[in-house]
Amino acid sequence: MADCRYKKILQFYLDSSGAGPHFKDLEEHLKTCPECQLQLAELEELNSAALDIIDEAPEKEYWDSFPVRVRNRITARSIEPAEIVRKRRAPWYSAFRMASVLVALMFIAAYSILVLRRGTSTLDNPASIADRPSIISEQPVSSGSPLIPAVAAAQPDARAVNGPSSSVDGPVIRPVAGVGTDESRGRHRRAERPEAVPMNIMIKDLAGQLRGVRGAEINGPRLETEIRSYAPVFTSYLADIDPSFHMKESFISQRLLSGLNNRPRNGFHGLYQGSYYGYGSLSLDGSRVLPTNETQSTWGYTSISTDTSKSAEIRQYFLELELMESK
Amino acid sequence: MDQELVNKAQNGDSRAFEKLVEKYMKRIYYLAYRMTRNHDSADELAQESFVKAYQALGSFKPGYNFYTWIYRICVNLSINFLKKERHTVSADQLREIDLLPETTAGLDQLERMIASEQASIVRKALDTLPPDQRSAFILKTYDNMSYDQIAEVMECSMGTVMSRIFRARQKLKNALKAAEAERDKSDG
Repeated sequence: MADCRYKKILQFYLDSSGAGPHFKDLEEHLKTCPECQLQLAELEELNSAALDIIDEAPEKEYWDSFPVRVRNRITARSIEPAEIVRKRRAPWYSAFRMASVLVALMFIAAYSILVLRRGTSTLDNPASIADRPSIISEQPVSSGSPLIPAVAAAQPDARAVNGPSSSVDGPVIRPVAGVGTDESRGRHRRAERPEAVPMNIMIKDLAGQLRGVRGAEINGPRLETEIRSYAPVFTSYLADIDPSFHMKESFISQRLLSGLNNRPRNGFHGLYQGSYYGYGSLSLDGSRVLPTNETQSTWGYTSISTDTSKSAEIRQYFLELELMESK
Repeated sequence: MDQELVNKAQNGDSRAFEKLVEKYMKRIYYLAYRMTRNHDSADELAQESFVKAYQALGSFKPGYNFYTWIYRICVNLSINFLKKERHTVSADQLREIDLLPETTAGLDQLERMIASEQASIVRKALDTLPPDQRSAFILKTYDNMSYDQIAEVMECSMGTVMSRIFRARQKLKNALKAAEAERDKSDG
């Protein structure tokens, strides 16, 4: 039974020495599954062999002199802990900081006074307004813009106030409709978005790492392309989990696309490891295999409404396997 | 206890820091040794770990765990060392095990030989693992740390730790299987 779904959690079982009620299902399963028995025996054998490695122990003199050698090294480099250095610096350092703040405040005050005085002189002398280039004429103007009537109604005629202006007479820069509105800001943001979504981000999306939100945002043909390019990685990952498992890349693409496009993104809190992927569904603390009826499987992830405290870690675990495979 | 010693060391009590060194030097040395399989490198890395810890004592906040902190320093230094040196273990360093652990003292000669051979294979395979996987496996197997603790030491998620250990074990298991197949082939 090469595709035993319990195989993946034997590591947790071994590392926790089989303790805890969560492994009850696994222990029951172990009684009847020779594949898992073999896997567990191999893991135990490996641990035992690793612990049998003899590390060469240094002589007693080595340990006796170790602290002294560390001390000598510290002394030779004149190292002091940062905390001590900070305390020693404290009096002049705080004085320096205070002086810096004072200088900055004085600079701000001086600048403010200068600006206020300039502003006052302009208001006091209307002639200076005409001498200066028109602020209105520097704004991009379009006769076709729906904003123009409103602007024109609200402002005095620029030519009448300021006389001919090179800015107004020159080439007209067309405004972006709705500049400053939420709509335009959103459009700008979309325009700034890079064309290609990096593969690792895409993988994270697919893996539910971002709880699907980004996946939902980047719908469309590009998403499909990304998913299709991701499919070989996914296939390789699945093959690694279970060499006997074969699935066509096209089918994976179809399945992933179907999941992304048709299922709501919110609520994917757990990891689905259904029979397609060759292993079982873990509980969110990673310690228990869930029976199928506790999970609602979709393209790779499942919604489990119980404890979610460890879900991120468990997801990350499988995601890491995936990412390593893709490197 | 550790926190108290750290506080004293932060206030300039070098004897307090020495006590911390004495307390953790063996664990740190062996961690470095298992990462590098070389006494000189391990000695250098272990000493450097404590020097760096001393230097950074100011950033050690109450509530931190000195134990995981010093481990983190040593793991980072070891990983950097392995990456920088592109450390490959020479044949000389891969000496056969000349001693057997006490736990196998009661086994018969054949079993002892197999145990010794398996340990040797795992050690060699361990040296070929990527530094991240190697350190995760070492911290789990030899220092018996929990996934949470390893994640803290390696400054990564628990999931990452689990996958690194899983990967390391897969590779080590494969090495054992390959050696076994080789032995069966030569026997028969």
